[in-house]
Amino acid sequence: MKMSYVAVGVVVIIVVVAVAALSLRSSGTSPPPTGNIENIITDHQAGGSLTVNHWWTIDVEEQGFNVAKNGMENQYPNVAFSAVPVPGGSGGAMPSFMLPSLQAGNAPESFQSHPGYEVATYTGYLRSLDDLWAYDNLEQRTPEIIRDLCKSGDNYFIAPIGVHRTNVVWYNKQLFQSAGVTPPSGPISFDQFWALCDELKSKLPSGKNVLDLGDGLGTPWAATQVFETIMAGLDLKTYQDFINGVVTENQLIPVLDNFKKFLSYVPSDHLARNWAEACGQLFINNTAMFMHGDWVKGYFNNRGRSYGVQYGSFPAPGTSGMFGLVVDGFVVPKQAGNVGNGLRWVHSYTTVDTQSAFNPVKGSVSPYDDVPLTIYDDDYSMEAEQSLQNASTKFYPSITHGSAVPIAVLTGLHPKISQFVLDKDVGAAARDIVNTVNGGTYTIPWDITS
Amino acid sequence: MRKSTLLVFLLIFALAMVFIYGMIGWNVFVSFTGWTGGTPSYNLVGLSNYTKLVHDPLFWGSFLRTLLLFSVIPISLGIGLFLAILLNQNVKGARIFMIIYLMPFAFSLVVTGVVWGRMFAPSNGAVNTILRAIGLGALASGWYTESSTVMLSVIIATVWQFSGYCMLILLAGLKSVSKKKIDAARSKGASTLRIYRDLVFPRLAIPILTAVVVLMIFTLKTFDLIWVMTSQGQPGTSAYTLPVMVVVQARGLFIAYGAAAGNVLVALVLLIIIPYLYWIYRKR
Repeated sequence: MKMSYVAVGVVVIIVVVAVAALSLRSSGTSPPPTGNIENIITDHQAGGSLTVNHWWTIDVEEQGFNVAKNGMENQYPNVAFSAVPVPGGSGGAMPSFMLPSLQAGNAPESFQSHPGYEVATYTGYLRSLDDLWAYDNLEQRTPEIIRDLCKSGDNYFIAPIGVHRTNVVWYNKQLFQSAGVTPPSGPISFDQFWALCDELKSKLPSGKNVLDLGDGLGTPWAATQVFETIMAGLDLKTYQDFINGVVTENQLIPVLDNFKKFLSYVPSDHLARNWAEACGQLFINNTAMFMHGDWVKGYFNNRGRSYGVQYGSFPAPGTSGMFGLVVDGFVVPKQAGNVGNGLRWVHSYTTVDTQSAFNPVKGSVSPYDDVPLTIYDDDYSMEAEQSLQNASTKFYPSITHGSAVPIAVLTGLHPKISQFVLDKDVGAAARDIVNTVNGGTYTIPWDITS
Repeated sequence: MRKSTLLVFLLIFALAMVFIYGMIGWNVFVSFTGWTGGTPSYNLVGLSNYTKLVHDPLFWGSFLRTLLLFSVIPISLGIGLFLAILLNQNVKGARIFMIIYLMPFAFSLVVTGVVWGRMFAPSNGAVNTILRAIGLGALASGWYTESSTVMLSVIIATVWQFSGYCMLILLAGLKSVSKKKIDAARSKGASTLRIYRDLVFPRLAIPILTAVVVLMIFTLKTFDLIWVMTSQGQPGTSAYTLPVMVVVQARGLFIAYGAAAGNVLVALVLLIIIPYLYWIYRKR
């Protein structure tokens, strides 16, 4: 080949590489928003674009997100809102999705996250929200547990949009009635729970199930959530050791024994349903009970079912007075194209109006104490809100939803739990889980027992 | 070659060098680092990621299941050949049948995974419902909800997706066989079996080889279907293939380890492509 052609080829390659490198770098830093936080938030005529990445894609999640989106659009009508779903729920897909974008400097204006270890994954990429917390009085409006969870070191990088509780058992009143079984009126122990399951198993008609798992078709984390709820119900000290990376096999064995017992009431085709479809089985009177977070309530309410009428709930066994915390929120990357709009988005969903509209639809409770209790039309939500605001409640951060353990540990945990659900080998699972959990790097010293 | 043509060629070559081979090279480099976590880290650790792979039962299970997916190839080819022979009979409506058989190939693997996930639902999915209705209830199973049948479910869905493509390739090969030669052989008393053996199948060698190579690459990359249908490789890890394992490692931010597993996948692809290309160019 002639040297001139080779030379042209080399030049072309260099140009392509240079253009690629420059295009990646050029979207790196964006100019900071002009003015202080008050100027940014009070500019309701601001335009520009707002891209928000989230994982609320299933059913009531999507409906709740749309309510928050409407709230933003009402407050800032000239901002062009673009929602980018990152499906999977519980936030599992978000870090591996967002980090390459953040590293390349191609950040959206905001994306969804959970406080604790999940936010810590993005260290160095997030804009501090201290000024927004101060401007919106979020410290005064939130209970201490929320403030503590949302703070990373000395700063806030996330503002909560809603709080869910995971340690709940939902039940179908009609199935209980038809089986002649009395649902629990309050907290129960594990022995009482298994006795209830046995009674339902013997009295429910053929084809009806006692429990379900909802770990199929995109939501494998539902099994890990049951595992963590059982663990908290058995021994909060074990939970604390788990999330501090010092749990032992002996501590896990009773947890797994009880999880194995739980699984004996779950139908063998549980992998054919995600959490929403498992809710659906409860909805159509096929399943008597479902241990899951209280976004289940949003599922039922949005279909015209009323709490206390067609369905009810009681605390997961052993978790009376406890609150399995799932705090959903959004962050603002430093390198967003329009940081101002990211801040406007976060501000918009902390307002009383948006909180009042969002939480009843989503099934969550508001982290802000100036949101009136009258937005909730059922006993469960009022009790959950009061429990959240009560300093004597025993809170524990959810493992499944990204707060309590590092992402690497959580990602390694899911297949171990899934394997246990498959083979129910307590010894092997205890060993594998301990290896996974205790091999992580822990930077948050949790104290949930004092 | 004109200079403008050469320039376009060079531009495409440059893009391929940077965004395909350059990125593959980058992945190889990362696999020799200790990068774990959200922040890039380029400390070299030699072969330790590969050593870890060799001792990881999850890797070997994923590797073997990836090879198991190759069974899609003979099954898809067999069904494709059968359909191609049928369509080559000049029956009425052959064109419409061809479009119907080819349609699944146009679907994304995600769509296929979702659709077959519903069809394989053990209690009320179409597959078990039909099996029970026609007296074959003994064949109804948990499909993707059981570790013993999850890969079978993946294989069936993948065969459904790709046998139309095989049909198209082989139909083109069948149509290239000289009708005069077939008529001449028939007039000399050759049986249909003999005609296919001596005249038709030799002409299908190249199309079959092309289909085999393409299907090998598709099955090696089958991630979307497995991820969606089996809810990320469940039950347990019984539907983990190499692509699934790579993604799970990436989600856990074990970037370098995932890169090492990904390089094994690239090596598998090269093991297929290089001999094929060598054979093709030798023939020329």
